[in-house]
Amino acid sequence: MTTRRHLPGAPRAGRVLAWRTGWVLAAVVPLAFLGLFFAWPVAALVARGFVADGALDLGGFADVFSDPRTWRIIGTTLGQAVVGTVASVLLGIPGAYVLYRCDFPGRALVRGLVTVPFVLPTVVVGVAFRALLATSGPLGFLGLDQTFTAIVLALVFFNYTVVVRTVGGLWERLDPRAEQAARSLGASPARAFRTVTLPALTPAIASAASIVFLFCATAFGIVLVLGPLGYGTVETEIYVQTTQFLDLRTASVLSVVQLVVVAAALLVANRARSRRERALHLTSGTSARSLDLRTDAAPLAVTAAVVLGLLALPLGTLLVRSFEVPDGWGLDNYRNLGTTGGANALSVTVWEAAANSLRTAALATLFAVAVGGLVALVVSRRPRARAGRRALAVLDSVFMLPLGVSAVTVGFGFLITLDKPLGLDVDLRTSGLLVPIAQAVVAVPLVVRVLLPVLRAIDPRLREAAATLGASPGRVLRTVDLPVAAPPLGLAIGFAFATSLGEFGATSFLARPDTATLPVVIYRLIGKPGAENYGMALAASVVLALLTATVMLLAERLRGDRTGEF
Amino acid sequence: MAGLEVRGAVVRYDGTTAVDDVALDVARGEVLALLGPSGCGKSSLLRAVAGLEPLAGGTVRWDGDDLAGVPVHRRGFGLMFQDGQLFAHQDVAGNVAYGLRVQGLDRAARAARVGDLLDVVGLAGYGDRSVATLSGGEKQRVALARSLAPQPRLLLLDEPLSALDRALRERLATDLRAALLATGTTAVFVTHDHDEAFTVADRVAVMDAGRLLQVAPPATLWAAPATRTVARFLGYQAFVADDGHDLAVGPAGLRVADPVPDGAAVPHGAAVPDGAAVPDDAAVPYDAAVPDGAVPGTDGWSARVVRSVVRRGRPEVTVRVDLGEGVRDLVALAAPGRVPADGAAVRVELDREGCAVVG
Repeated sequence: MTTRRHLPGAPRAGRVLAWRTGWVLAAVVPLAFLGLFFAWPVAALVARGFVADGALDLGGFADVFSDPRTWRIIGTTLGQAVVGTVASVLLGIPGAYVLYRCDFPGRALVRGLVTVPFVLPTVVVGVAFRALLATSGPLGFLGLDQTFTAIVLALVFFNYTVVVRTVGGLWERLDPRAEQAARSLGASPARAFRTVTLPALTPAIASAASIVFLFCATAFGIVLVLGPLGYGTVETEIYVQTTQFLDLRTASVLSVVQLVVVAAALLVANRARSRRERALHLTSGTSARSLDLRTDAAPLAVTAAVVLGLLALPLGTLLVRSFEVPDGWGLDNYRNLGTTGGANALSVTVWEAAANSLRTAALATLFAVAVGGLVALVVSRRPRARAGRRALAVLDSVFMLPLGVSAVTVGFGFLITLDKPLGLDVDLRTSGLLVPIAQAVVAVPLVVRVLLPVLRAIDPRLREAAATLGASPGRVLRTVDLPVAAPPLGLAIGFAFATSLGEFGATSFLARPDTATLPVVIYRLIGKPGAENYGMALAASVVLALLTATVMLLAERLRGDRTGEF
Repeated sequence: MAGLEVRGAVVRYDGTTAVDDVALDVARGEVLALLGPSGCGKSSLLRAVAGLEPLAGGTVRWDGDDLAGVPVHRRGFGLMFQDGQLFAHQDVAGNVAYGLRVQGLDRAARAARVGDLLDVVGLAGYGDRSVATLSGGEKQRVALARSLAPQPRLLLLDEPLSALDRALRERLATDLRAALLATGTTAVFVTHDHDEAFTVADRVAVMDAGRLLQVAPPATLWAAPATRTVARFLGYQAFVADDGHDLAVGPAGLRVADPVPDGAAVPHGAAVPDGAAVPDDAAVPYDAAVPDGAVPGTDGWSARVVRSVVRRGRPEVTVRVDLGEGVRDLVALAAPGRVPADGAAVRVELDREGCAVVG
């Protein structure tokens, strides 16, 4: 009992105080970031709609809601979201079964392939579906180019992954013995599924459906690229009203409408998620059995059709057609990426835009991971006081908001508030930091969602065990929390980077012509006439897709066990 | 006073009082068991000593120094959990060496000490194993080695054996005692199992509803439980008045009188043939429990056999009997080979070796 260095029992008030201050700072820094770069710009934009000549004026609501166009747009938005969600869920459940409940050679590869669409930039997806469905494309005979159906197909393309991964993650861990018990009581496979498995999966399905609904209702790039002329959702209408008609009042009212829809969807998602976390305690182990070609024929057929027809075909078409040149096949489109396009469509070459993209995405990732990491760390604590726990729950929800608020709203809000932030004489609009900050705001919720479940899953007694072995609070963070959070931290970095690379809504507002990013130049290229520009758009989309896929692949490699969401 | 000194300790959670005014001393080198039913506050007390729960009142001192305000990691108290809480991202040696690395020991010294401790807990050569490959018992051995490695001035053990099966628990309890003695470690051991407490500890503190009822060496505790609650918790099954004393009847405190009195065979005229199914409790209704004319007294009580089992080679007969506290089902021992039939009327008498005076 002599070797151990025991410190005197005198209270170390100074150290404790410093530690507490550190936690408070860890909560305040992200809040300040979110307040300055999200709440304030959005509030300022919304307020512009309600304040006329220095007085509150709610006349905007009456005007906007008496316009039949508004109701048509709300109807389109809800219709698009409902159809997209239902289709994603119906196709996703068989996919979850095949990819998470069954075992077959190449499963990991197919799982990886299914993940790709979710992280692809919306503009790339839009261009890929155009390449597939346009009259000159392989499926041109269907006449689906720039229709509601095309938009829904693209939305399913995106959100299929969300359903498969969310539902599959739970299904994989469901104890198969409950279903076996039902079978032994005389239930047919279909009846056992309907009465035992499906009810157990319901929370995950509800959670996935509400998230998909959110993504479908706020889709921007896809609707802009694939929508027929005059087609508008709330999100695109906000964009049109602010940029083309400069009607801030209408845009503000629509932003409020969107906030209501988003808040409702988030509420449902939150409820479903907490139910799912409870349900998970009842389950154990993973249990996949090998795929049976006879009994699993139906789900297998559906999954194969979706993976090949809906996921692989548009991407394959995009790749193939990027090599199409007026007089046959060649690398001309890729060579042209070093130019500013036909008739100088752009201010920068596509390669310069790619460099811009990488630079802004790197900065955005830095901000998003720093802020999101702090939020996840703070929210994962379990304070003794009830008030503290409640405060953390609020903090958790608040940081989910950017997930649903229109990126267009954020982008435009930046323009009107950040000329002199907090009265300081720093015009952030010209500093080059604006785009990365806006992208970080969009990426923070994803970072939190990836890291938080992992940090929460650490048994608090593990930290206590380390403390009783003499580890200081800082050392506990470093030796207990960090090793567990490191693999998902890699994934969070990947997600943040991929999201920033593909971010279009806010960036399209904020990027100046000479700092345009890849999604922005792709959108400009397909908007300009000329086969050369269109070919360049295809080639640039391939480059952007490859960049994103590479980043995600690296990130997935870094991650071991899957505990987080998405 | 050297060692641990707890005075007037109070721990509260959201308004409920888990530990209520507890005073406790543990001398250096002593192993004390904190025994009580689940939810009695014993783990809360342990966590308060470790510094993981704040005290709502009272003091915790070590060698006279008040530990208020000393954070967990500076107390020099080790803590071992029920489920080990091993660090999954480190191998066995990494886990055991954790506290040594914190102390800044160099690599060679660490390796030597880890080797010694794995020896002590019977896991020599396990250093490179991943903790995921260990059995439940091996995990607890690693957890013990990890807590012992930094040579804590006090080791707190929170039901370290409860998650294990019975045979393993009994063996590990003996090994644990040996490891604590071999390393001269002062320890507080929380458990709800009195056998375990008696195996491991020098003294046992019985706790109930947040309060300490009695602190004594195992033999004293067993021979003279301070209250009926303590006696009941130790396994005493009934109480009888005896010469003005309150006599607690232990698990071996009753025996079936031998020989079985004549004419006490089977009630209701129904013979119970050999090999017949054991009747359930409903077959012996309470109103038929005690035969008419039975006179309770010092030379025995009339009882009715409910069922018999042979445990560890000795017949244990569950009898329905009134020892003065109302009709109850109690266990009486019978001589091997003299198992009465279910439903039989028998006499039971006290075996004073298996009884203790309360108070």
